[in-house]
Amino acid sequence: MSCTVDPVGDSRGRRRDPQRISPPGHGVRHAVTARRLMLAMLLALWLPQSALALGTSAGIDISNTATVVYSIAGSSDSVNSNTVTFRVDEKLDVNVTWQDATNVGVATPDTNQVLTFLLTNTGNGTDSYALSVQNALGGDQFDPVFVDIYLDANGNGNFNPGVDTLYIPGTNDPVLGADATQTVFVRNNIPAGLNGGDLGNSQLTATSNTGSGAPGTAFPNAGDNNTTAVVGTSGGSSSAIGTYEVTNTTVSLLKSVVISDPLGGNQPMPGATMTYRIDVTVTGPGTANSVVITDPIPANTTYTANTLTLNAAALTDVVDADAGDVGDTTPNTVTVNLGNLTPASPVQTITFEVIIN
Amino acid sequence: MKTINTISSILLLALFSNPVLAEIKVTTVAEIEVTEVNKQGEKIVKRSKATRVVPGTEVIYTITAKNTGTEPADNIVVTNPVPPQTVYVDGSAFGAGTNITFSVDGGESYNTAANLTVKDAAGKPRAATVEDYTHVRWTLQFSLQPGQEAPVWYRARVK
Repeated sequence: MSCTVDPVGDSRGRRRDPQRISPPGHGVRHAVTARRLMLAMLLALWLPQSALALGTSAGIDISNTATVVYSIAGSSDSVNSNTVTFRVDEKLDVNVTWQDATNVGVATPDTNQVLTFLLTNTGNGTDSYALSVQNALGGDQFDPVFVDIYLDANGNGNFNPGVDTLYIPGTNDPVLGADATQTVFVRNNIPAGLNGGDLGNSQLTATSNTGSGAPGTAFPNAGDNNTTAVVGTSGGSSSAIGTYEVTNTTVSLLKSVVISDPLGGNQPMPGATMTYRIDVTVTGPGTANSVVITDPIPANTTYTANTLTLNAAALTDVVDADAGDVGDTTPNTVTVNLGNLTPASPVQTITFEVIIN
Repeated sequence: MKTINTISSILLLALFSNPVLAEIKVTTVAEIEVTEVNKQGEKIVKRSKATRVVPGTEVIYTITAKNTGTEPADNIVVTNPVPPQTVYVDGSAFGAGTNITFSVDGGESYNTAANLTVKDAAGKPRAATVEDYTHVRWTLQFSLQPGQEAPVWYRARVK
């Protein structure tokens, strides 16, 4: 990756802002406006009650007796009807949603990258759920490589290795009461050789262990309080897809200058020496490969020979085995090869001197 | 002659001294609707006794008052409490020849849906919604003749 650094604009040598070079469309965020929030709140208030509130518990009996008053020949009386009673069965319903606010940024390759999901028992009885992950999905540029599933043990919504519980199918299937939730973390590795912007989807599925299938399917005696368990509209199963996105690394350049004039001050006058300094750092996951910094010698100045340094070590002005040159690769231009840099690399500092004509 | 007169007076006495045997019998039925596909592939909606009920199920309560006596009955008022685990389905109450009113105060008072108000958390009155209904009442506008039946019904959705 080669970066061109703009020369300091004016002869006064003011400090420049850091120059970021990053690809467009990186990490787009959507701000939720206040109006949208209000609309969502209003909609929530008007939803039918059965969609929101705790459903009647399985095993509850609902009874009804009607009364009638009447008069015959002027004399009043009243009578009760029979009492009808029916029992509320258990409804098997579940919902899985992907919780990360944006695509999870990853490098290529990368390991143990976490997608966060929320599992909700939307039925009216206690149920346990089998969890599974499917990564061979269409509609993306790569398939994440499954590592494991963790259950949020301390309920803080963040993956804490050593605290959260490794999920082992059939041994610790999450058990949830009606309307209860469980945060689930899915870990995947990311393959090598991908391009910036590539997307990889990973799907988490939760299935009721009591029963699943066509809505209305009944499992006698399988519900709480020996009720019949009936599959709800979710089919007793729910899936959600989380997405990883390979994000580009970002190289940042910070340029500054120190001026020293012949009169012992720091005024930019003819004959003053300007020492330029460029600090190079890398952010974002992954590696910036073959970083080359180029910087034209500013107009109206003359490069002072043999003043080029990299990380305090002198570089020759000619193209040779060292990292840089001035005026050889490109006339009147500083060129320094920094090689591959990662966020872990130390700051690369380039300096050189010019004299104002 | 004298015996016949005695017998007939005893009979007459019997007729007038017995209490009036007029009765109203009330039965309540709870049903749900089940959609089946018949052999022709058509969808048929059938009603069956409410047994398989889960949150969200709509239950149809049908209350039938029958005059099993020998005299017409007047001023018949059928009242049904909406079970607390259910919500009245708006507009579902029906009864031919009846005025339908609702209570939102546990049966103390009744009014038409449009006139019902409750107090909100701040004590201000607001229009009542179906979630506030505690009872449904049908006031028959006709006399129930001996042997006549008057069914009324409404729907309630299990919470």
